[in-house]
Amino acid sequence: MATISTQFVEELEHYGVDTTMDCFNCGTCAAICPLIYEHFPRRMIRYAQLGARERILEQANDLWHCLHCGLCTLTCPRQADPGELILGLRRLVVAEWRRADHV
Amino acid sequence: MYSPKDIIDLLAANVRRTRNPFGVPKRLMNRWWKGLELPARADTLLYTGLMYQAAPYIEQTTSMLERFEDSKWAPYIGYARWMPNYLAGLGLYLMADGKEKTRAAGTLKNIVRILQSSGIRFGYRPELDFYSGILLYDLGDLDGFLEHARFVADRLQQAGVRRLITVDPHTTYALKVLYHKYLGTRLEVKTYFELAQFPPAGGDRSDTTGPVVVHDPCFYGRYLELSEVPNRLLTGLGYHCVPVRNSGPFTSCCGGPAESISPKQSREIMQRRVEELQATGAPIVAMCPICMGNLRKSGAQVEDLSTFLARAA
Amino acid sequence: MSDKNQREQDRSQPGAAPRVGVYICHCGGNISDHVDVEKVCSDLAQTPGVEITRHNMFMCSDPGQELIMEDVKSGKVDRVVVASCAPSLHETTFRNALIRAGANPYIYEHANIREQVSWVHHGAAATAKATRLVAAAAAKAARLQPLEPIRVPAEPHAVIIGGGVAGLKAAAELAGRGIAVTLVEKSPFLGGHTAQWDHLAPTGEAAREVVAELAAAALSNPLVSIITSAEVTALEGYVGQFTLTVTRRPPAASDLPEQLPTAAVGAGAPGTFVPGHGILPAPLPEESETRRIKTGVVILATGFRPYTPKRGEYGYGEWEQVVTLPELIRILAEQQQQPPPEPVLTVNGRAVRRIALIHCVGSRQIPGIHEERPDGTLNQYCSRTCCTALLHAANEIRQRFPAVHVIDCYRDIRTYGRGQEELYTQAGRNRVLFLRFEAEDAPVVETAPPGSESPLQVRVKDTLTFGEEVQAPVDLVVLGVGMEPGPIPELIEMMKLPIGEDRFLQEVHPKLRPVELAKAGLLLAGTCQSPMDVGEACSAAASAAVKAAAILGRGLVELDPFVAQVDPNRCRGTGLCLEACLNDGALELVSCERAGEAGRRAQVNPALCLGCGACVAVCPEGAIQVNGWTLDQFEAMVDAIVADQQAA
Ligand code: SF4
Ligand code: SF4
Repeated sequence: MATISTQFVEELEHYGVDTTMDCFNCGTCAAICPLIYEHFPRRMIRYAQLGARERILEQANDLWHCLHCGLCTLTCPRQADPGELILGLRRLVVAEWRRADHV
Repeated sequence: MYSPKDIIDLLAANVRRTRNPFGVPKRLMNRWWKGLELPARADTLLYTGLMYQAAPYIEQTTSMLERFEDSKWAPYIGYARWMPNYLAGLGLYLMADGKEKTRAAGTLKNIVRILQSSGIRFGYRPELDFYSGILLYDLGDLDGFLEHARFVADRLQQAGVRRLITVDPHTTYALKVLYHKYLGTRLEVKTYFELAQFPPAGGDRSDTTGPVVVHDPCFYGRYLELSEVPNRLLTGLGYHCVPVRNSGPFTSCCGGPAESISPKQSREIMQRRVEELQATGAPIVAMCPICMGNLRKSGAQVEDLSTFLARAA
Repeated sequence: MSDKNQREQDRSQPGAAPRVGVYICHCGGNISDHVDVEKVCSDLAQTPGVEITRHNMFMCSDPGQELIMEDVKSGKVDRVVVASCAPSLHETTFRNALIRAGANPYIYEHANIREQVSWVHHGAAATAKATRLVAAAAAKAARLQPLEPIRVPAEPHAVIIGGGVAGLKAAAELAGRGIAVTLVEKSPFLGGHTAQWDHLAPTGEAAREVVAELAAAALSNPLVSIITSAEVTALEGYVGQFTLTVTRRPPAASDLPEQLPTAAVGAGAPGTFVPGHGILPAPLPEESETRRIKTGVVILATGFRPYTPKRGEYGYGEWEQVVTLPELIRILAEQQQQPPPEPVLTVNGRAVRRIALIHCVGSRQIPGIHEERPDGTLNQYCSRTCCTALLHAANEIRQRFPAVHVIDCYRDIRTYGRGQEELYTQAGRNRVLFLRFEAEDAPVVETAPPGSESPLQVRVKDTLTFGEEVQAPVDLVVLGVGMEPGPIPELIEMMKLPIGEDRFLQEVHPKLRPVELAKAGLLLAGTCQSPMDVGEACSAAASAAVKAAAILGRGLVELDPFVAQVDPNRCRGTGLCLEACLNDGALELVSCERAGEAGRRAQVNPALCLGCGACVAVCPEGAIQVNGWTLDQFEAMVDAIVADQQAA
């Protein structure tokens, strides 16, 4: 069971993403994404909204399927910038890995 | 799929060491300009970002990666940093296809011809022509990207460069948008085809020209909204640009960006796009070395935009 | 008019046989696909008394009506039968056509050959049945007499029951049209539930200002009198001539705020606003009193009450951290103004960091999922206002207390009106986290596990997270309770008010007669009819006021003349009819002189007679008949139906 953490969204801002909560989960991005893969990218965006850090880290590799093609950002009806959200999550995960490498 | 962490670590280490992601020394990679006698003017520079030059290495790397994906060797990619001769550096240089290298050089020479015949005054300074770092940005290594970008931007600034003419979408986007957004760099960046000018087409050229289908790269079609320009140029030269499902802002990705992490997925997406393009029955026009390399894997006939334009130059 | 009547009279002279026109509608194929309309026409043409038969693709169209009007005007026919759809749809249309043609509208008879024939029978049987129904109507039509509508004088006065926003709005509107109004309010205050709120969604206006303005508009008009702390305890009479008994009692101390402003309130002057209660328009009564008010119409504006969660429903009543939305609104209104940067929201002495809102509490209940009331009812309707009110509260919290996080658990977001969807968009910008649940997997509110920073946690099977269960520690749970009809069992019993399946008062027809009850002269305004927001309640009140003004405006009310009529020559005054009568007061026995002797006979009060005919059946003398439905007309119809089919 994922536990909601309302602080995570603020943490993501340090990685250049401030539109996480603008997403209203319509799924347009997942429908247009050429990956056609497990509700990507909405699934990741949803976990970010919930602040389900564990879920994101468990499935972190999925983030790198993204082509940065920008179709989702173009079509998102809420201007939630899903493509940039995926990039922001990549940055957060990379930072997490780097921290772990240094320990 | 390869572990993104391993790939990122490998590429980041290469960029740090050699200022390009393949670890191939620039003096070996960037030789196309020799003998062209381009002036070393500083204010307006042709800037390749080494993407076309890198194409043969990308192709070599990905064909290896594709062979090993999901095999028991895949996890060892992480050690490539300690095996520079295999996946990076000199070894890669020697393995890469010579024909491909010649083709890349030809594309850049065509672009020079196009600019010259359009009356554009520009210079080229190989020592200032760096990789943009865009791959690190795309992969989420913002720190690595910024470190490299700062290095590049500083060099350009010190040399007094104010205007750049770019040749591929990735470098264009990096310099025009990302350098400005993250570093505040003030450079005037234009693609070569935005500057291209041809005298109006005289007479019927339909025997030399014909139908073509343009594959808009994501960065030009969507992010930079430039698709109108190549279309206009080609139409002006007498080509018939056959409309394709998904173009302009809605263009389909060629799948190329996924090739380092998941070559299989990249191939699937590429095949879907090639089908869309081939449904028109016309030869395909690409304008990005990544798209070009990826679409060609299908065996389809793909030519660079510069090839078409250079015919009129 | 008298001219026309004269003509009517001449035509229906005994001796001058009535000339019936029969008009049959194809209904664009709806009828003629199954009924051989031309055959019905030719059969009817053989029927004695039928002068003309015609058919048309759409009788209700202008050209269709013209056909009838031409024949009537030229004197070809003086009785009319239209055979078409159900009379509820177009009977009035054709009666009006007769009026336009200068004829009496009651020389008209309707045959339903769509719902009763073509939609349920096919082939020759359909045509045969249609023929008999039309023949019966023609037989009756030949015996119809011109009638005059019943006109009763209308008392130019309206009583409005309920002093919430709808009642106040209706009062101001009516008084503005010069009609005297008495507004009867149960509590000592005006403004209803609206007066208890802080700001109104979606505009954000201050509720007390809206109430104050509406009250001022009503109170400042000398035509409006207001009786607070009062209830309607009896209703007699009929439209135009109602008499209401109103009883005023000193309110129970428990219904009053501790510090009631004691300053005397001048009659007619807008009163004092008592926060949380409303406007106090008049001093409280010291003893009970009863008065009778004569009025032409009554507007019911009895309002709603918020749903009260059952004990244990989402932990309500078990944990003090579970409150309803109206309770939260009060809490927010009472929070001290605090300086930035980090104002703290304090509830029951505890700082709140995370709030869960739950939608649809007591609304959109589903049989088999939600627990029914003892009488087996459920609130299956959407209360319409709670989504918007919750989002409004969520935005207010996020803006006033940026450190407080809001989690919004909804089934569907129904922000249907102008400016409402914007609140949802704004909630996203304000970083409200939305979780969506299915009715059968409602959120669970429970104590947080030991070590949690918050006293409670909410668990939700979240469809936005692909059905995964998610949980959140929370310091406050707010239940978005819906609306239930106001508790008015006495009024419902006394006035025989129709209620819908949802237990709200039910209008005659949601589109055709949206603010009227079947009993003429009773009108509806506001949330007694269905959940509405303040704006909608005010529009409903304005409609009721317009309807009331239309009823009262002519000084008299016209009623259909289909009521009982006594033949004074036959009536022996047995009084059997009075015993059979269903409506008290519709019949009475009056003294009369019969063959030089004093006697009694029955007399009809046409405004009260229902026209049901119960009296007709019991009169041994055949002295009482219902106009428009007399026994000889019935007999003629039956004869026509059983008659051997005409040879075609
Ligand atoms: S398209 Fe935009 S709003 Fe819709 S799910 Fe994707 S990110 Fe959210
Ligand atoms: S940018 Fe990434 S997530 Fe968005 S549509 Fe393209 S591949 Fe999918």
